[in-house]
Amino acid sequence: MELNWTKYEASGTSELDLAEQFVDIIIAEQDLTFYGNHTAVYFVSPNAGIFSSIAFWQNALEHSPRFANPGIFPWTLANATSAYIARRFSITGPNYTIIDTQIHEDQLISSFKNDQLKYALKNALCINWELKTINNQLVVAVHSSVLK
Amino acid sequence: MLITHKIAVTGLGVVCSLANNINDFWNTLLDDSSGIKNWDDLKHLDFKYVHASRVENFECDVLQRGFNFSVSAIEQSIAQANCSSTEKWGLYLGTTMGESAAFEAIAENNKTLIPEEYTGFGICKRLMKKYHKITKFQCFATACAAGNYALKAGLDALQNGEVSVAIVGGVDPFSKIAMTGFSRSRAMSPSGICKPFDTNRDGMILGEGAGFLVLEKVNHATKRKASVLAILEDCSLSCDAYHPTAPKPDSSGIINCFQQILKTNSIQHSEIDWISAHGTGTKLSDRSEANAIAKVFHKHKPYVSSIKPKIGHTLGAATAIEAIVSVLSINHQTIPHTLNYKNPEFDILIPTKPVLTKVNKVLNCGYAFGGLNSMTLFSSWN
Repeated sequence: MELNWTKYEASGTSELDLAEQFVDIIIAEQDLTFYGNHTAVYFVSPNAGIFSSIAFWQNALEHSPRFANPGIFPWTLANATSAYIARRFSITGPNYTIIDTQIHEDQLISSFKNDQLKYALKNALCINWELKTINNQLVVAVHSSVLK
Repeated sequence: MLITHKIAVTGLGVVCSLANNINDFWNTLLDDSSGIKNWDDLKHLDFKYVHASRVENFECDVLQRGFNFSVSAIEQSIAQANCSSTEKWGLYLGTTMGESAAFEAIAENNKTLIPEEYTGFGICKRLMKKYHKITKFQCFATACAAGNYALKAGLDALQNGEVSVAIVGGVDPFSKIAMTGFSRSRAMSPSGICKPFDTNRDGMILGEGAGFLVLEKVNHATKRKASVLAILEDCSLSCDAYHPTAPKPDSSGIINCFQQILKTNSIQHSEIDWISAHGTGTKLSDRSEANAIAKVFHKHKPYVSSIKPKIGHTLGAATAIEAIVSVLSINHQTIPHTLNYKNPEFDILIPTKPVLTKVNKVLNCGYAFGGLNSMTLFSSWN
């Protein structure tokens, strides 16, 4: 069992924007099949949700907490992107968001093996998601792989 | 599974608005008081709702409040487990917002803070520095279900032999970001009274706190003469894949979790004595949870209660603190009540006073934005 990573990069104005672009790209480029309850998502990121958290509180300070933009709030949660990916692919198996500065491949494979037995998983979508801001643009470097 | 592979809970620690130690926490949980009150600072900041359940008399750097909550709860749990002399610890932490105050400070133009240092990963790094026996850690940012994810990771790591002792828990200090977000999502209670499952329920109240448990294999615990408080049997997870914030109307994700954990552990419905419910007090979430329980447990009705009217919704700490309550309910053979429950809407059995009864098996439920569903199963030991 091994992880073969494919690299992507996207830029945009919000974490929602980046999630949409990423899913659109992998749908267009890869012939992926997922199996509802029998697929898991392992999403690893050092900073998912951080930029939305800061943006949301800036928005609240600007307009008052009473009038902050409610559309930003779900994206302050680090698991918003992995949940979005699950929705787009109808993946209803275990959905993990792990905060880490690097991918621990052995740990991912070990988790998948445990869950494979427990949930009769057929495969898992593994994603490493690292955000940066460059010239006021939000940029994400993504590594994705399917474990089976 | 061999008995020796079972995972024991040997230590507990809590920080929340009710108490900073397990004995006071449990005693207060069984009375009719609540840690929820009005806060002037929120009023001055122009928050629409100013009710919250916050920890008072806990002095620390506001940017490291989550870390300090964690230390306090971990110290209690280690002391109870008496495990200081053991080696090879793993740390498994769940959190929703991490050190939210740091992100708020950055938004307020504090340029010196590096945001990545204030995530749950940052809290774990600081804890690893403090506790040298921690050889590995993992941080789960799975919102309000995060504590159960940490419990599962600890359970798996012990069963795989990766660590000898697992320090597992959840933490979330008070977050103005979350306070604003839940208010703007219309999830907050305008009345300031959290009434889970009541027909007049009007929303949640935000809390803060930390809950930590020490886990180890039963044979490891008995060999060193530690008291086994309960067994952590299993954890089940699913995802609705339906909506960013709303639960699936047919509750199928939650039902899937219930069926999976019962089937995997060969448990009859009638063996479940208590369901420690997510029970936030919001219209949609409570309906989804109650309908799932009513469907799955239509023949045998276990008691169902929520502690959120007492301590508010502590986000990533919630399922960890509720796991502690699950263990305490087994130890004391007592089921806590649901404060403020008066007007039934659902076909589930909700106690309005603590119930002294046999408590051998407890399901601890937690759900989260993004459609995450999680459950842990605790059993009595001998």
